[in-house]
Amino acid sequence: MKKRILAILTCMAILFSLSTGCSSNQAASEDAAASQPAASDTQSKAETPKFDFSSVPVQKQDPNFKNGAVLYSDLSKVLGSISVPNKEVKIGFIMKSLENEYWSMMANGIREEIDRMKAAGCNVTVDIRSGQTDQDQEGQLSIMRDMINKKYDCIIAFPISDANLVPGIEDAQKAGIPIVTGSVAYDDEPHVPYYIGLSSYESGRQVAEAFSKKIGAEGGEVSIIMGIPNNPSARDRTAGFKAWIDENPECKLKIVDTQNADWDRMKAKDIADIQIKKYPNLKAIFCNNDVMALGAVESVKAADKLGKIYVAGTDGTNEAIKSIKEGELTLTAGQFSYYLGKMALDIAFRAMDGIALPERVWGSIGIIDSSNANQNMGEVINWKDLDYQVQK
Amino acid sequence: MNNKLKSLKNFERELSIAAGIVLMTIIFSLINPIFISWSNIKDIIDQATIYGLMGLGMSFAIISGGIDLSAGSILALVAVILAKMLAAGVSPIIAILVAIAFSAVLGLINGVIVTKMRIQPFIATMATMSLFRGIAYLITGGFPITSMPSAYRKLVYGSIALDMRSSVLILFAFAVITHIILKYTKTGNYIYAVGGNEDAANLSGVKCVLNRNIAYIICAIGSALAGIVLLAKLGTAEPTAGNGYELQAIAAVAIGGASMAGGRGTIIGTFLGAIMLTGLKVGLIVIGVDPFWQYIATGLVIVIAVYVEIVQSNIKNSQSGKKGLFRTGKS
Repeated sequence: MKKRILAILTCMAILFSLSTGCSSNQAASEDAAASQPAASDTQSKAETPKFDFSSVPVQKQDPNFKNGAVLYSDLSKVLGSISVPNKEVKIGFIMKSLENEYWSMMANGIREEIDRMKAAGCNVTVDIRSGQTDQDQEGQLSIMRDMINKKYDCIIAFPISDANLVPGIEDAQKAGIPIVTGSVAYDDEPHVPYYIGLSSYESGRQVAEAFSKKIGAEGGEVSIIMGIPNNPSARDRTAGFKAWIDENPECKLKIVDTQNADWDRMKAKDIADIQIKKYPNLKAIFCNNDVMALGAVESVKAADKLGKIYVAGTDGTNEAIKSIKEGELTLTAGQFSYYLGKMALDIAFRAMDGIALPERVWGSIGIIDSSNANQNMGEVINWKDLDYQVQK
Repeated sequence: MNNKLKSLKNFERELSIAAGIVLMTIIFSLINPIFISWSNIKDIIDQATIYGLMGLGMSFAIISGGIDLSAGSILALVAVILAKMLAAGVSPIIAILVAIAFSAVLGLINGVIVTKMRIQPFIATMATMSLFRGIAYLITGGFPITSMPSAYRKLVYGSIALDMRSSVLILFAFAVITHIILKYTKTGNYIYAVGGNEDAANLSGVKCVLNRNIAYIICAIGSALAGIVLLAKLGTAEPTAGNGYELQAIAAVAIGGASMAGGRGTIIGTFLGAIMLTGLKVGLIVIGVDPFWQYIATGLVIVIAVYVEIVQSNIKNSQSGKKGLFRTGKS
């Protein structure tokens, strides 16, 4: 008897929830229907005449981007202020992992933007999430699925691998949620038209050029300490560095040795010890990241060649900038992740507006050395604060 | 059999590694004479210090029939805690002693999980590998701890005679102490016994649990010493330090002739194994081998070195016609 009552109650509960589910769905679709014409209205009024990207120069030096990419700094001049819908907007921001400085800096940048949006009177929430580690591919995908289920208005994602978020991206596109991908570009199946990233290739080129300026016209021997080539940034940083040197023979730089130090500080020091000994005329060492560069600096210090052998890293971590200020590390190819997250947010708002941007956008990178290490990093890349206008 | 010959026979393994090192030195030096220069030899010893210290400790875990995959994480955790103490102004000597004591606790945790909870060493230390590194991340928040006091760096990694670093003294001192423990003390004998055949050792009244715990503690102290040297060498402690170094340490022990099944291995063998591995790594860079080929060369050398050892011990066993109780391994 008890069981029967229980069964009836359960049935009723299910029916009840179904009916409410239906009605809320209906309400939602009505909402959508109501907002649709409004959105297309604003588009036809504002967007088409306003943005002409033909003046934005296309960068083609990175062989990974066949159709080239535009620089965010050029693009932002055309775009102007961000128009924020006058309703609740939920943006999901998925990172790789928060266990290293690159991503925690990015999160800090976004948090600052959240405060600025609040101050501008926008009703925007940004949900910053990440995988447990930078290997947690499945975890990152479940975070994305969760955001799709919760019907976020836009999702910004920095995928751990080329492939791990593909199912999530497909689901989001089916659900009509605009996606901005960071660092990984999707050209076809799925095709994601909004991308923000950095050119590792260009970073390598910039370091080579900076070395050439420091060393001067007589040129000399340089060496490379790379990370494990298990991710494109190691390959591209090294390739860009080599390419610049090949293209500029008048600078007389010669790469005498390339070694792998597994992104490990001590292994980089050990390798630098050998390179310094084997090549007594070594002028400069380029490391694929700052951690290894700081290891190489220890080696240069031990050999008493500080100032005679230049050492460059890549990233622009706080530790590296501190070392530059102390006159030890020569320079680093800054990646400015604090600002990269902000740039991604800017693009996300344009994506929600349905504006067709140039598909591949590069964030600002630049060399940090003793001449600008004391500046605010925003000044180094000429950062212009995002400007929010709430739609009326 | 006369005594001299007998004592030489006991060093067969060590002699063959030494021969391998000599051969390697000749080949590398012929290709690039820099290899034989004092500054290069000094660098090899310096670079072998970290893996050597870890390997010497690892010998105990392996001879006792276990393994310690958490060695790299212990290195990182000890380096991080030591760096915190130094940054807070604790005097270097006291900070070092506290760090070593702390590592003994970490080793005991490994030992207790293996002996009391009866979890296999591979799994137990794989778990603590994650656990200890997690603590290192928690303590630092993922950021490196920088600017170590120069007094500490000079103490552990300062220049001594012949342009050598003082860390070399730590390596040699630890080698001598561990050699004495393993060869000339009851504890050493018991560790061989436990690793060779735990049941037999138990029946003969050896305190297996105690001795296996001691082995893990000494192993952890080796990793801690490596962490202490690393911190002085780089002046920075990071939670990611030492990632994967345990495999280098295990390779040094294997080249040194220890059996992964336990019960066999020597300190001199491991020491030479570490020198050989580092010499190989440095040599490949000095003669300009492409980084990808270095991986392949290292793998081949480990296989060859261990295979030579197996052939040797097979010959030895067939000559003597019987296997010793405590010194058998899988062969």
